[in-house]
Amino acid sequence: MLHFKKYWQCAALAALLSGCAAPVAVDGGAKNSEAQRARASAAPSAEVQFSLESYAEADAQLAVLAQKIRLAPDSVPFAEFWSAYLQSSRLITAVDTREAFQREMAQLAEDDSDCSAMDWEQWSARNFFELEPHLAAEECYQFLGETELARQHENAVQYILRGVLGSGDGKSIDTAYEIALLDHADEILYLAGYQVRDSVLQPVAGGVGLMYVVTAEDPETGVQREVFFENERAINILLGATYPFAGVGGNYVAQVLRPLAEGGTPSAQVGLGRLLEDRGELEQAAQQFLNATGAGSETGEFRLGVLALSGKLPSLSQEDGVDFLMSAAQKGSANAMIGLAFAYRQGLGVEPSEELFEQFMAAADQRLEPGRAWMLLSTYFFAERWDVSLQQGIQYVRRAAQEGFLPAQLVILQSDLNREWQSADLETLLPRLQSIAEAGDTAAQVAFARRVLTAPSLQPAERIALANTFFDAALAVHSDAAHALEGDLKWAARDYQGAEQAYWQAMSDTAGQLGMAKLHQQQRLPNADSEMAVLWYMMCATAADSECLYQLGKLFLDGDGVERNPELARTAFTEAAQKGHRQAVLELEKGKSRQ
Amino acid sequence: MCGHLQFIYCLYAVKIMKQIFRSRRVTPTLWSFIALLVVSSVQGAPSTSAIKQPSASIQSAATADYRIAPRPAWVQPLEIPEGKARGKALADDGLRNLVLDTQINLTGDKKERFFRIAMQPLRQQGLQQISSISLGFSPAYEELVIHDVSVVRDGQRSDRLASADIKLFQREEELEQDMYAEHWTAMLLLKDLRIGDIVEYSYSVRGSNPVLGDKNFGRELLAWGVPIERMYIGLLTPKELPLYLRTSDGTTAIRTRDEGNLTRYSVDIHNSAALRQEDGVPEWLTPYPYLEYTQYADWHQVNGWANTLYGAASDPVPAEFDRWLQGLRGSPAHKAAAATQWIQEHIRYFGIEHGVNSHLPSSPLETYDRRFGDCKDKTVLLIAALRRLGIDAYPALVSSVENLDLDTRLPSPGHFDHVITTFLLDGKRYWVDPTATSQNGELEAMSLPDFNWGLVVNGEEGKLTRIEPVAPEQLSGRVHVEETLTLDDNRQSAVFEVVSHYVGWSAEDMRAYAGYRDVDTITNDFLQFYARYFPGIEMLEPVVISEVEGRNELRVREKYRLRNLGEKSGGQNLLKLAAASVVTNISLPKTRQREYPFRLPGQLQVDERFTVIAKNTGDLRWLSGQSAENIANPWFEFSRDVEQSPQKVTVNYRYQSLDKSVAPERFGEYLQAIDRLDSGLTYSVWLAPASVTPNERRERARNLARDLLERK
Repeated sequence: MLHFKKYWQCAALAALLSGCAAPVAVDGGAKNSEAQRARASAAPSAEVQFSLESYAEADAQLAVLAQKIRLAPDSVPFAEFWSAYLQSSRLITAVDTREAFQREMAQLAEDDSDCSAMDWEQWSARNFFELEPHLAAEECYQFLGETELARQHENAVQYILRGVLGSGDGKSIDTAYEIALLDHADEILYLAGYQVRDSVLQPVAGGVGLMYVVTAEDPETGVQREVFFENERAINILLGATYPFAGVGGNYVAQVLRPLAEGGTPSAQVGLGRLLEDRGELEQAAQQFLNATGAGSETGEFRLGVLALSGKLPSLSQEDGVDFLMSAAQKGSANAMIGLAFAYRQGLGVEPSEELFEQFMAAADQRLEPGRAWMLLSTYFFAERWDVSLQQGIQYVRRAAQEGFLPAQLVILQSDLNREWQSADLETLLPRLQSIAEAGDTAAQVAFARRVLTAPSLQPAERIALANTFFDAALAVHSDAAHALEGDLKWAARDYQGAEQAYWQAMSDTAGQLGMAKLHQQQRLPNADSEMAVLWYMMCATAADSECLYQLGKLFLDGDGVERNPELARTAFTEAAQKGHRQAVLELEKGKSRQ
Repeated sequence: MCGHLQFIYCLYAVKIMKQIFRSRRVTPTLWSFIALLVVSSVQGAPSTSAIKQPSASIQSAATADYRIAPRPAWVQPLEIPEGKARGKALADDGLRNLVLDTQINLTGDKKERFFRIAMQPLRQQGLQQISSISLGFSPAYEELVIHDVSVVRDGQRSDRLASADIKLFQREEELEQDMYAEHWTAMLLLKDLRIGDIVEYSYSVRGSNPVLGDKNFGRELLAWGVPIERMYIGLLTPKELPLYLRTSDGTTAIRTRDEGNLTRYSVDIHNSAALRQEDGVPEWLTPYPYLEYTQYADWHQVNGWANTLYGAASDPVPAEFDRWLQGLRGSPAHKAAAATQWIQEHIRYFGIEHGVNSHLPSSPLETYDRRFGDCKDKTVLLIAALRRLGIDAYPALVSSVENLDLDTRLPSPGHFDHVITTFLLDGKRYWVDPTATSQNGELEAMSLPDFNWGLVVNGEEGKLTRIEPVAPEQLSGRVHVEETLTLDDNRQSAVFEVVSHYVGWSAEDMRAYAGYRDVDTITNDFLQFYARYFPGIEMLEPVVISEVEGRNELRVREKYRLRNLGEKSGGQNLLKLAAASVVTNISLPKTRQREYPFRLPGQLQVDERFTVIAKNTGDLRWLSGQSAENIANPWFEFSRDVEQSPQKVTVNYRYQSLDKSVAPERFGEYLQAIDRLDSGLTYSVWLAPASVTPNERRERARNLARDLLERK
């Protein structure tokens, strides 16, 4: 019987993320490779047996869907296929299969054999979600004149591409594309005509989430953009965790990010470096960036330059920082050009130079969508580490907004209003929000829809129609924020199960997490579970949402769904209070009076 | 050492197989093997000049000629397959191999081998190959008889022998290996051949090397590197003489037919598939199935035959040599080592392998006086010397290739292509090879001639003896490399010193390499080796190679200046410290999907210690998390550890090869292990950038900004 030891979790996960060697099926656990053994020793969990046979039904179901897709792609909704894929063994064996396929292809090329020597049906079936076997099969079948078979593989490629590209628009964390293997990100971008420059496995909210951010360049225009991908569902399955809680308690960092970084994966080194930097562990962060730089990561070099530029690293001088930034800029990193502009603007490690500041900004501007360079520059002025003027930062955001960068326009709007969306005056807010939303900014669309569709007073029909248009547009790119709003609206309509389904699609959004927590806490679901409420609150509390922190504090104080812990409750209340949560302040006051 | 082919007389099949092994990179076709089919060693053949023209249909054997005659009557007729070529059986070389018919007659006074080949060129490439036919033979004791050459075109057969242009020439393919055997080739140049023609020809070779005695033996391949539509092997033998037969695959059926007082054995194979060619197959394996036959009943009989050839080993040693031997001091083992190494060093290897010289050694006196000899000559001299020292030594016949399963084969002299020396001391059996070069140190430090099996020639031994080391070190090589890179103040240049120690067979390999090259060549070779890692390398001092006295160990010193260190960008400088001496011992075959094992270095330990010394604190910035590795598997162990101090970083690499080969079913695992090893073979450190003035930095920034704006 074929088994997988539990230790494949770490190995498979590493493979899933990095495209490195995957675990192989082992006979009775006897023929495991040295690589697996080594990885197993690093994986604390062990000895739980997995059997490929237990996937037989799921695999058969996937095979049926795959065949349908080849013949009539429209007959299978992508969500159905995606769910079947995630439940099948193909997710586990994907990297192994990919490597075996690549070896087979290399052998084919080496032997100079006819492409008909490959068993395309077998290879494409072994991992239907892989594009490469389909593309190669299509080419071969066309060469052989087997047009029907070629068409079937073309169908499969189109289906996968449409499915992945339909899962978001990749512009932000909110609308990230969902994939299984991180390698798929590169494949998809390549097919879309982009050149991949670099990537970062970026922890989100202190590691509760994990995002794969690829810096891609359009070879025709030379414009660089960041494309966001996530594969948390797949990671959770491979970690044996209940989605999406694998990141709670630092598992993503401990079991994914750090092992990958230590194993020499540059994208993970940069991601871990960012996390350490956020935690104030600057020397360790610099070490990670240095490692990534050594492996050729321009992002790592850029981050190292910025960190050194701060002058807070004993091991590196500000001049070193300028050198690193110049090196990254020389490689073409627009971010590094902005870093250099900042250095020359502020005179960090160099004599200030307005001329060089303008030149480096112009160079970055050439490589980014209009206004983005100024927006990125502004972030330096909002970071605490620099002794700089916030007002100056706002000026750069305004410049970004003037040049048409929509997120900058949204920031300016918020700045002008000087308050949260939900508390801003509708009549002041909506016209300006509308123009940004109409220009296509998803965040503005969701903000407009939320204000209108959750407004306590009845809104004009025309405005409601416009809000629904924006709402639909945001849902079409699977905005988590839009799904969270969808959940809230269903909750308001007492459709709790509908709300749950919507929140389920809003995993990266604290509003969605909060919604799920409350559904469980308030026993709105048939399977409501106070422990689940705690988990959801922990998740959004990690992202420092004040309401989540407050609610979590209450659960710890009451021992509801969790062992009672007044100390932790107090910590949560304190953090919430620091963010202006009034009830948290009251709780702290009550606590004082009880002492 | 002795070459592979020197003992091959009528064992053309063995030779062909070796040729297959050697020439795997060249697409092997049946056609290219035909030339080798009858190659054998010769005796007393005249060494005339290049090409001879046949003067008549019957040529003089003494002048390496041939004759033309009809096919012999004893030959079993064979039908040529009809129909079109089968798609799957098509050879890549555009040649369809219809028939390979090999029949052997052991009933006459001379062994007679009949060959008939039919081929059909399907493309221009195939046409080119078949337009000349090469038939090899050794005229000293073999007679070449050409029976017929014909072409079938559109169903019509036409004779081409009369019009063929036949040339004779001597070909010494092994001269480069210091072996001279007098092989001759008859080349038939055919005219007016067209694609689609079926070319058929047959010929016989009569006779065999008399030094092999009056018993017959041989080996025929059962599959080739090309597909063959019909392959027939026939053996006609007198009933009263026992003939032993065996197929290596154990499955191919051998048919037996009574023909009065004769027996005809045959193997008839239809549509024999091409055997896959793989690189990196260990030389001790035989991937090609074969049929072997022999009239020897056991190894004792073979030993008896061999023993008659080595009578000279009992001859006295030359007086001068004897005096030298008597001057030796120390233990018998020490003396044995000294005598072996003296012969290795002072008796140059050169083999005259024709005729009886192929197996009959020269006397000790003759070898000593002329100062050259082949493996037999050197062994006889050594045995005589050892016996003079009171050590009871014997020759041992060995096979230099395909020797792993020698003990399972039928007994015959044909398995051996080399001879070494064996003796017992203190109850331990030693094996030494006087043709080896560059050995040094005590007996137990000298590497084992690792041929798996040997036949100890004493006239008594009735079985093969396993060749085993007396000490494990005899099978192992060790390389210890100390690389020290001392950075200059500017961190852009350095002095690079390397001290390497080679021990065991590694030392012997290095001596063998260095023995035939001058210092300049060696220095340049070594410089080129490191230039792959440090392009700005210059030689500071010539390479110095010295012996570590009394041990089988060699020391090599190198000293270079490195300029433009590291991989620069934007003023930052990354220096990669590669395990160059480990890397050079790891190779992967071209064929990754394997049916045969892949050869590994055997027992080899490489310790490589790379130290970078900086002048100032802060000159070095190292990277952490560079997948520090400890890898262990059945084939190798690898470790890397790093010692860091403010002005020094030392990377210790250790690679230990544990096995001689990887089984094909585990090759995938081995590949994975090598993949994993790959990342551990380099360690990177940052060198602090050379200090620049603010003005220099600004100038660089200006240039960079300009380039970026111009999108250079």
